[in-house]
Amino acid sequence: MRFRADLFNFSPMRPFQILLLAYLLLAAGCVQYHYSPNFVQTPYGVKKGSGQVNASVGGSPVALNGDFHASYSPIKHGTVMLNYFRTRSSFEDTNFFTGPTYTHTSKGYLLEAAAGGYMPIAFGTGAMYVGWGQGKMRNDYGIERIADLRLQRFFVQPTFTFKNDWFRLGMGLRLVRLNFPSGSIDYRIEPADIEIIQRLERESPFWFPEFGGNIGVHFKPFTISASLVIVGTKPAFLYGFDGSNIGLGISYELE
Amino acid sequence: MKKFTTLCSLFALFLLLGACKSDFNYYYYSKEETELLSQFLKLPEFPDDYTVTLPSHLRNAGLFARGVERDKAVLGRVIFYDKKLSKDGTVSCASCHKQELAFSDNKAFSDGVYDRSTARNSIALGSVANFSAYYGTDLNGSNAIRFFWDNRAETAADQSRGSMTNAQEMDMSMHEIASTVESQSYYGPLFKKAFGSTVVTEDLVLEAVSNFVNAMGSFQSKFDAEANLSQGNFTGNFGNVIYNNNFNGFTAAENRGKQLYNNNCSSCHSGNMGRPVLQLANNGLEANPIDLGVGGISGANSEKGAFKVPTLRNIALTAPYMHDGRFNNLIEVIDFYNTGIQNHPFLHADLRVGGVPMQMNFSADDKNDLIAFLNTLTDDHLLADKKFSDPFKQ
Repeated sequence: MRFRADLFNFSPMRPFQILLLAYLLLAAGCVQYHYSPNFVQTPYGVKKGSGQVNASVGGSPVALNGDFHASYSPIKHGTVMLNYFRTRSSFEDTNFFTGPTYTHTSKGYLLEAAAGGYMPIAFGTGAMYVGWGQGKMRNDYGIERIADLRLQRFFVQPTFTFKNDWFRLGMGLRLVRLNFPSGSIDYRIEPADIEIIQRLERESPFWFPEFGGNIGVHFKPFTISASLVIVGTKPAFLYGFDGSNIGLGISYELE
Repeated sequence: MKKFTTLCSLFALFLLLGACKSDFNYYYYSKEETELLSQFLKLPEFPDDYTVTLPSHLRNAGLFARGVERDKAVLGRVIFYDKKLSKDGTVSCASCHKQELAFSDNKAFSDGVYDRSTARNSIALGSVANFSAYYGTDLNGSNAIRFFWDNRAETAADQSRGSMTNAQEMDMSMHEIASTVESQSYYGPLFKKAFGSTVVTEDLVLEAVSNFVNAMGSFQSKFDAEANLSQGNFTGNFGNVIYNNNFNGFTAAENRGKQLYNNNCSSCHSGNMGRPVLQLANNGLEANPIDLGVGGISGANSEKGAFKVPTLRNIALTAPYMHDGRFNNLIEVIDFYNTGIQNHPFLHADLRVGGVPMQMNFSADDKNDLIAFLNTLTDDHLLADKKFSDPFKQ
């Protein structure tokens, strides 16, 4: 009897498969995190006086997130925006023999403001934003062992948007400088988790890109959209960075 | 151009702000806890690491360190030194187990509460690698090392309970121990750190003490340093290794002493000072012993007059010797094995030759060499290690 050769003919994994596998692996484990990305916001305003407000919910294998965004063009070719982001997660620390013992939680926020300019490019609009914000992440490792880290984020963000009467498409590359300027950390936290925090302290600030986009259907004046952002940075298990955020939102547009 | 300059300036400002030195504050005790604890205790800002790491020669012999939980060991340290946990407030575990003596006492019988005297000599905790090391999976099994000279306690917790409740030692009931601990404010934060709650129970007190004493690994002796380096020929099994080759870092006298030890002592006390080879033995101290030792507990005739066999780590510091402290120094001990072994019917076979007690017949030089070797078993580090010292403010 001969084995079929193709049974053993594994093809190399494609990037999508790797991503999916990583996502599933992350989903299988509960981790605490010190950074989670908000959506890369891409204002659709193309003239003075236009603007939008947006609310989205999203998540990743480890976190549940909420995004609030407002943008306005006070001048021709100029936009300001304000983003507020909240993230949280919790899981039970389960002991195989004794069952659940205590709850771990991660929660935090980021408030940031940005300004930028836009101009028509090809069939859409190109824009460049510069922004800065700060926030806080609180990780409770159970039995009142808490790590509070303050974070500051500076970003430069080129975007491209396309819109017509019923469709919205936005893409952006957010170049991030993430800094952890201060923290208050209970030293009872497990050494492995302390190590991650010390790594953040030692190596901060971090520079990394985030890739994001959204696609939506417009029902004047509302838009229902789906958004995705992926953090292109160091391994989550070493730095406690949540690697993605995917979700749905609704926008109201001012014309 | 002006706008561009402004943007660039803002960008530079952001970078500058972000470049400020980070300020991470790690804390173990809260401010309130620190204020409370510092009234009574001299504990470090961050807890010491009580992890026991066996030297490579013991790991290579198949020995494993018992796990120690840091926060419980910190609590155990305070309990270990707390004299309030005795009936008259004068005695703690540390009264009979003094750090500078490798956690032994320099008296044949230690002072208990109300000037009472203990019934046996205090065992040196700094000699008990067996507190913290075990072989293979036998952590609590039939070959687990037992406690007290008569081996009546199965675990370090049982041993602690035995001493705390012994009328000659601390003379407390475990209920009184738990109540006293609960009444002392400084235990609140320590219990919370160790067990997540300020509720004190007898078992938790014992668990904390067990963690502390199990952390007392004493593995930084000259012998350990040389054994770690030894590549030569050795024999042994089940965690016991006998190093037959000379150690390069030993003096000639120490190496001769090691050889004498290997030939005459290691079959009971172990060659690598990891675990004693024998759990108990009758070494012929008396032909008709009054103190029946292990046999007094088990009732077995064959165990009457038999006592726990300790390892000899830090032996130079732990005089007087034997369960009743009858020998004041190592010379007296060696002289006993030279000519003094009594013909007890259950004298251990290794101490009997041709039906009569063995006479080891060490010469004067042999004795000096043997003592030179035994001195290499001293771990000075343990004697000065602050994490095992008295945490109370005087």
